[in-house]
Amino acid sequence: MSENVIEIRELVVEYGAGRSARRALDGLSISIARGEIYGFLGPNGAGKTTTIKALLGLVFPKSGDITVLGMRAADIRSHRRLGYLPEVSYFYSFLNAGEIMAMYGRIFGMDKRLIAERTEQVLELVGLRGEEKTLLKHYSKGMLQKVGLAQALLNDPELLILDEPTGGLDPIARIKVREIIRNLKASGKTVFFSSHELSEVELICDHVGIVHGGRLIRSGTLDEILSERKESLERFFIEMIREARP
Amino acid sequence: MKGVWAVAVNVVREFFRRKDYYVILALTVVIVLLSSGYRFMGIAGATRYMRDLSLSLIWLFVLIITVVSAGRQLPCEIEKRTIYPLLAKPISRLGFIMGKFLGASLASIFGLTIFYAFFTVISAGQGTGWILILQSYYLQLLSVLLVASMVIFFSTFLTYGANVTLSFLVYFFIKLLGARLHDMAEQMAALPSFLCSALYFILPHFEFYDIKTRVIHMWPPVPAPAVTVLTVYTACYVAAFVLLAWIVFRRKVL
Ligand SMILES: Nc1ncnc2c1ncn2[C@@H]1O[C@H](COP(=O)(O)OP(=O)(O)OP(=O)(O)O)[C@@H](O)[C@H]1O
Ligand SMILES: [Mg+2]
Repeated sequence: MSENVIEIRELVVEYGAGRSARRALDGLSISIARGEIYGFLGPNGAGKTTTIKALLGLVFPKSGDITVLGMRAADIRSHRRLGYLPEVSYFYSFLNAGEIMAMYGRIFGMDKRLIAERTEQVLELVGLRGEEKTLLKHYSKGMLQKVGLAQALLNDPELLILDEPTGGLDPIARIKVREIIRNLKASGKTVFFSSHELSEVELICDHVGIVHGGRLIRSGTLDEILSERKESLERFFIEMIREARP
Repeated sequence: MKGVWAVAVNVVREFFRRKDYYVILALTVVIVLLSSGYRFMGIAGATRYMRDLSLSLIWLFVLIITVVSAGRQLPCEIEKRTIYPLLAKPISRLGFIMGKFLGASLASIFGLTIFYAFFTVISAGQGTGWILILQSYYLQLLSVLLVASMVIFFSTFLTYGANVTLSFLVYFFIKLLGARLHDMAEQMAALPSFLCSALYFILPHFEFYDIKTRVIHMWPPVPAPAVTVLTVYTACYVAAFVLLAWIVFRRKVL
């Protein structure tokens, strides 16, 4: 088995079919090794969310290979060992946080005691203790985002796939999320996350990939990328995108 | 399997937390109670009329609950994007479909059971055989499963509104004409005749499940072998619809 937790090769994904087909990913390749924190950057519409959906088997490749935790992306057994935070956190608004964790926990095949234990831990971690009984329809956007992060951590996954984890969060919550991600790394987990927040990526990532127009235009360790132009990631990002313009 | 059950339980929970279903429940209780008023008016044939009305209302309400609750499952999950975190869990798309089907069926069966409990109480002491009422309940329960699976299948490729419309159209078309399709075919030219016969054999016959007339007139119960055959018949159709739903949904881009 390869040491790469995520392996994407020459991935092409199209939305729609025939003449109205729209190519979202156009030969994207990425490898992510175990234990990395990989920041996936790119402008709006670059293909970040599509890549993540392809990893989870929510969209299907037209061509190319995707392996997640050594399994094909469509293989749901890999879902036991990963956690996913969607780009927009919408959960069943008629449930409360405790109930949603219980529901997901049951799908993971966790028993009642384990579900209760893990729910307490993850809600504590994201700072939602005391809100377990509030229906999600009464949650704010940021609180929903925290529920999203909590459910992604529920099964103590070895791989986390986070689509803009700090979107909608206040500065204190952002710091908290960064801390959570760093702690995950410390305990040997792999984190793959997309972001627009370059300063954030600079603070926590050890690897960075820049996607543009459905292709990976640059990737490497943060040090490599920064030493290349000795500037901030933000400047580097803007220059890369500008150069890549057709 | 645990995943299927978790999804089903969630559907039932939503059913109870949405207040509109309480309205339907309350309304039916009121109507059934009202119609039971006929009993005290002592008009000849009123009992029969009361039974007819109650059973027709039960039939209609259960049908509405089934179509509405099964029809909204997939479109809501997709529109509200709750399907993303759900399918990122270790549950297959087939498991998801089965859970939705099971949950929508259970919710409708809950309504059905309440309605029949009321009906049984009202018609107590009027000479209707228990076996007949039980059979009527059971057959409608089977029809709930059949309708729910059909609606779930439609929801894999239709919008909610189109689905509800088509489901009611198909349902009433079959209920009214299903039994006659075969006879109609015999009076037609070759091609329409063939199509008519084909429909007769392909479409699920919702009219099989309706033994209201028997209950109203207190005829003898349906023979047990017929009920058994109908159970197997239902199981085949439900399996086919769930399978079809999965075939369409399997590769759906979300
Ligand atoms: N469901 C869809 N149907 C059709 N086209 C889509 C769909 N989802 C995404 N696209 C297209 O695919 C391309 C990539 O979209 P994607 O959502 O992956 O971008 P992104 O990098 O996540 O952007 P953002 O930073 O805004 O979240 C875009 O051009 C978008 O228009
Ligand atoms: Mg996105």
